[in-house]
Amino acid sequence: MTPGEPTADAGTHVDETLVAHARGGNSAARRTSRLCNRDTAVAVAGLVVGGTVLFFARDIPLGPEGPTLGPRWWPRVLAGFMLLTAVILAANGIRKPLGTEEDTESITRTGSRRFLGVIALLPLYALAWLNLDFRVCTPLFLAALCAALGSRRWRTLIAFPVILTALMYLVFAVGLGVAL
Amino acid sequence: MNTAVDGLLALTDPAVIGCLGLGTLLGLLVGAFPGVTATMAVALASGFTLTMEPVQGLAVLLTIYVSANFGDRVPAILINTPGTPASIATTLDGYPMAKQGQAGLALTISAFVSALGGLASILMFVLASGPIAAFALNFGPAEMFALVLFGLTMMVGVAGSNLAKGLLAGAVGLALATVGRDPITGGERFVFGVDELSEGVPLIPLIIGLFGVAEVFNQILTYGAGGQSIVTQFGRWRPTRKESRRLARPTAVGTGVGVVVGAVPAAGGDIAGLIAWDGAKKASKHPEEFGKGSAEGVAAADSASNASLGGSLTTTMALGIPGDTVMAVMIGSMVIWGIQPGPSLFNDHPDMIASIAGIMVLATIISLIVSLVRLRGMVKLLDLPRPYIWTTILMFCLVGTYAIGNNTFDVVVTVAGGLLGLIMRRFHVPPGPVVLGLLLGPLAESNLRRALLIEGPSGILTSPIAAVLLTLSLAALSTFALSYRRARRKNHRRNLGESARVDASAPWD
Repeated sequence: MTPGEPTADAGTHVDETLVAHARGGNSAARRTSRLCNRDTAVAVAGLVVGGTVLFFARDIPLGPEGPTLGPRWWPRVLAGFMLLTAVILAANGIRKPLGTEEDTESITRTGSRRFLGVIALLPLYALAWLNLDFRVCTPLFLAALCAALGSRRWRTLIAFPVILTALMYLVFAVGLGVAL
Repeated sequence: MNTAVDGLLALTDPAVIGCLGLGTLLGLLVGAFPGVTATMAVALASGFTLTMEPVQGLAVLLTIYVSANFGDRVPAILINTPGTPASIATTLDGYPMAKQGQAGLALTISAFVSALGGLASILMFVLASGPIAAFALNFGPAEMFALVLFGLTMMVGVAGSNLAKGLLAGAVGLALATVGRDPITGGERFVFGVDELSEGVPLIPLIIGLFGVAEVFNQILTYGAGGQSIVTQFGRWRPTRKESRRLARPTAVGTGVGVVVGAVPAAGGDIAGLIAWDGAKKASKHPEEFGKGSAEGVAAADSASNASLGGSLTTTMALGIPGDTVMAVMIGSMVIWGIQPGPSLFNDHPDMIASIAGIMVLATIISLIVSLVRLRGMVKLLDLPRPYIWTTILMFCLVGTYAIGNNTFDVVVTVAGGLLGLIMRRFHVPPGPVVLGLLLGPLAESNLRRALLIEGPSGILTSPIAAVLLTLSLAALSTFALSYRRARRKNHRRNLGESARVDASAPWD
């Protein structure tokens, strides 16, 4: 970490719910974690995806093989498999002994703020790229990105974006002939 | 013989030599930065290599693959953080050695045994891939389906710590592969009027999103967890003759284990390294030194993880089933170049096999030399501020994806893939099976439907090869399920023990 760069203070602002979860939480939290753990959340997502595939598979036109082994058959098999796996996952999640959730790196408040900044900048960059020259909009985007990631030094906000844009342009536009 | 010579002569092209240099630089860099994996780097590089000639592109991708396995040892030894998963086992003895003031020695031993393991496994690739491919040429639809299922099963099993999540991820990948055209009738499925989807979900943009963008997003979200102190006292760099002799056995064990494990679909250097470390400990005259700074431990782990590269390459090129996630990405690029890995590759592009082997050998030798010369310089890179790295990776992901087909839809898929990958990561769903499912989906579906249409279910069950592969898949699934259950119980018991200790030490809470 060089002087002036963002410090690692974010580690002190760890999401309280995650800390509570890591410490086991109180009895109310323990009761909820039976139904609201990562396994059951993934199981719900699996049920939604499987159900969606099954629903839209009805619209696939039938091939000469008929309904048995035609174009609808394989998506339906997969949808059925997803639904079955999701049910098993949900059952495992509910039956899972408390305190056996695998560790995940904690999301920090600073990290969340920076992440949201990056996500907000991406569509703006896409719009700018469609309307401006790559060499103009990219250094601006990179400077904004560095600022969103916590940098405040001129070297990071001016020199780095210009150098990286030049490098990207040289590699893709000049070297590989991509119309940027 | 002529085709082999042609393949090797293609490497004398100055552009290919430049690509080897570029790949080495990128590979060592990504290896040295913890969190940036070889899979992510190869996915990232796929964006700009697709416009190159196949040999040039392969030179970049394969060299990244090889040299990342040299660069990742640096943070593993100096800050106890594996640069990529392949160097997990390196930390077991590498970091203790560094703490004892033997970092230089550990880095040198690591570089040499990595090169030895890598070269031995390339020899295996040269000798074994041809016969395996010739055998696989006899595979019909039933055998091909069983082989694909076996590859998927292994990927699901080793990719995460929850079998059901891995199976679900694999099924989602297979379902994504149904978007586009039906492999038999050619009719459209799940296109919803979006023209860009008629050829299927774009593979490379999705891979870049799942592995590259998602990792950057995750690191931004979790930034600030605190850093490790870097070991700066390197001590001596060259092992003595006696030390070198002691390294022969663990290196041999590591190389043997690495080649075998690497050949198993989806099993990579991380698993090979850990198995070899354990094997070398059992075979050593000084097992008590393992885990406390044993040079033998470093030799076994690092020779194994590099030896897995050749095994993985053999499975990928001879059977068309990815040996690991890097190879899954590589297959995506090769398919776009019009080269289909698998048994037919040896008939259609025999020169390519020689080129691939030549690139791997050159990449290993260059990486060894650069590792020995520039290791001190690479240490400084570990101090680079993370925002520089994130911004650079993100830009290469976005522009690289756009460069594939000058198409903004691909960029949208990459960002969407990044968000999907982030959610999967946070919920411990492995992304590898999704990619493998997407990649192998058409092969699985077309072969299964053909097999069923031709002979019905009995055709699959009565084929000896298919039956063996299906039995192996079932056995592997059962083994994975049992080992996950055992690990979960162990984890639960440990947590209960910790809770009891906390309660005992803080009775006033």
